[in-house]
Amino acid sequence: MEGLFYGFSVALTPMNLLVALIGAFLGTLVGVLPGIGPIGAMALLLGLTYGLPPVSALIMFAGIYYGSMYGGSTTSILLNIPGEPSSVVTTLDGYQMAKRGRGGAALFIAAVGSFVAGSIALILLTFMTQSLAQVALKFGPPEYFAIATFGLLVLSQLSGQGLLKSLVMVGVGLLLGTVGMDVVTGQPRIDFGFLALQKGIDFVPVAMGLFGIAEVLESIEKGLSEKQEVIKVRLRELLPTREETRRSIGPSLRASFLGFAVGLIPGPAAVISTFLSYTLERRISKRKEQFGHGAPEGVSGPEAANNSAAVGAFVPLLSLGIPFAPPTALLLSAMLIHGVTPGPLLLRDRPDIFWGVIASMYVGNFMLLLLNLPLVGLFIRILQAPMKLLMPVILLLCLIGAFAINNTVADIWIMVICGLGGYAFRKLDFPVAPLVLALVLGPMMEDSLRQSLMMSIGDFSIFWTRPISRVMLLIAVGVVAAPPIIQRIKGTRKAPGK
Amino acid sequence: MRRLSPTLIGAAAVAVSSLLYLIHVRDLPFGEPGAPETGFVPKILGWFLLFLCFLLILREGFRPASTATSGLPPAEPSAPKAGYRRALAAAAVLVAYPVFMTHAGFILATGLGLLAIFRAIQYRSWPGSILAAAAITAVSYFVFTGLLGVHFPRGIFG
Repeated sequence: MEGLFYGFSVALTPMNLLVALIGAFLGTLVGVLPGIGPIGAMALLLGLTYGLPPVSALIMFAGIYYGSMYGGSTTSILLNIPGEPSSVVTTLDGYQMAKRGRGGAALFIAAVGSFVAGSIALILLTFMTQSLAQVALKFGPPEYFAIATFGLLVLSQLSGQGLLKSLVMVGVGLLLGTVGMDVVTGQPRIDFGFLALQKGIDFVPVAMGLFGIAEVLESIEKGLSEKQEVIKVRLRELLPTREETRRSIGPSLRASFLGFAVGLIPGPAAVISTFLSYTLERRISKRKEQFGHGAPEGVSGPEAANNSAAVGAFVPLLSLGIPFAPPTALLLSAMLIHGVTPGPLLLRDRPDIFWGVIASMYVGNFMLLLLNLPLVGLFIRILQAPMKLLMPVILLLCLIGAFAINNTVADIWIMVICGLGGYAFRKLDFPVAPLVLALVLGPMMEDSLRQSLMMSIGDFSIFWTRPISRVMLLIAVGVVAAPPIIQRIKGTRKAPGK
Repeated sequence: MRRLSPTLIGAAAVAVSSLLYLIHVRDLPFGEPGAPETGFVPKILGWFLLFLCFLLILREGFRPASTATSGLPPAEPSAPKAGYRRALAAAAVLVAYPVFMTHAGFILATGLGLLAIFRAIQYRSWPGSILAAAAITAVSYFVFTGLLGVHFPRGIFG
């Protein structure tokens, strides 16, 4: 608790309160825009943190992250367009509630559910991260290699577009990660004759391209409207009825724990948690028939789950220094840009950042609750802005953001190439999340692999003889091998009864 | 004739890229497992990726035509050709932008780039597009150069 109190003393300074507020507000604002999900929003707004001291910059960036997670629900409820994949489930009942004139109540339920889940998840994060960081101090290169391999394999299995395709994308990401300086010897290599590539491929322009540019190109292809039709909500219509409130409490609490647990697993945790929460609530509900027709449980559960999962994803990042999903990979990049190395030593070396960021999330979570409801009118106005004007502006912000990272046009080139590649991969139905994560984890994996092999004088059994490494690799192999085996067993059981 | 599936196209493109990568890294020293050198991981990765692409191509190639993913895009109704043309035009502007920015400077490149995209997506009329492009360029230049201290290439204005 002492650490957390210290964190509050850092987070509650006027400067850090202001940046948390700006981060949460801007994150929500960009998250509200259909098509620009949390990763796009974070990549777009990363440039704003460059001039700030590391603690303030990371507090602001964390605010942008959970702000953008909040923002997605507004479009789901009022427009029937999910702002990000983790808000897809919210459209099922949220939009139906809005159509029945209960849009304000749906927004209120989503905001309060997110707040409750965020708060519970933060308490779990506070205790879990500290304990895990202590354990992680004993980790060596084989453990780090095994954990990263575990993360990539599990993400590939869960990405939803087929294991083989995902593994190909992991391979592409790892290949891109080898470009530039050798992580062990510092020798220049694989620069394809371009001086700018000698320092390696920066993650941020890649993420901006794959998520931001590709998304805008896809929206342009589908056609942009001059004005969106939004269901209007007045401030006085925000309060839910007693019945709606009663029905929302249980799902929010259950989803808080469910979401946090799912957030610890590599992969699209926020998305998976919403589907799990919705399925759970529907299964245990006495009013199953109301799901899909405006059940408040269908809004409060998934919205709470995705926020809790977003907080849960901070655990591996802060304690191990390993991101398990693209948004936390962006957070890792932001930390590295500001000279902060996340991982078990962060707690010892930079307690101001470790505890300051965690404490600021408590504050930011509360700010979002206060901000989001009174500002519903503003968000609706933004949603009504012509997309034909907004999309080119977003493109321009991506271009400027990429340039501002190192003040070089080379980063714009990387972003544009990745944007076109990302658009092509979307058209070809290849997932880009495994690529992004592999690009971030690649250099660390190469370093860990080579160090492990040097430690064992070329004996690959080092990954098997060390218990933590063995367990991680066994789980990873199990996650990859189990689904086809289960499918085959099911197939053979069905076959005799044909 | 059976149509090439998106997966097959994607796998083939990645396979060609990994082949080019392997050619590029062929001279890097591999070392040995006990003392891996600069080329150790890149060469293993290149071959591993090529192998995965080969598996994917094989799987798609032997999949019955009815179950193979076909057509572009797979799940949604195909976008009209005009949609692709618009996206292609925007992509062309994006590719031209860094070239223009280097030589003509931020203001000219941004103004013309925005105008081209506005016309590609048919944002209002020509005068409306020119006005919007000029206003956004001016505001972005003021915010990023004046307030945030970003130094853009000045090009012909330098």
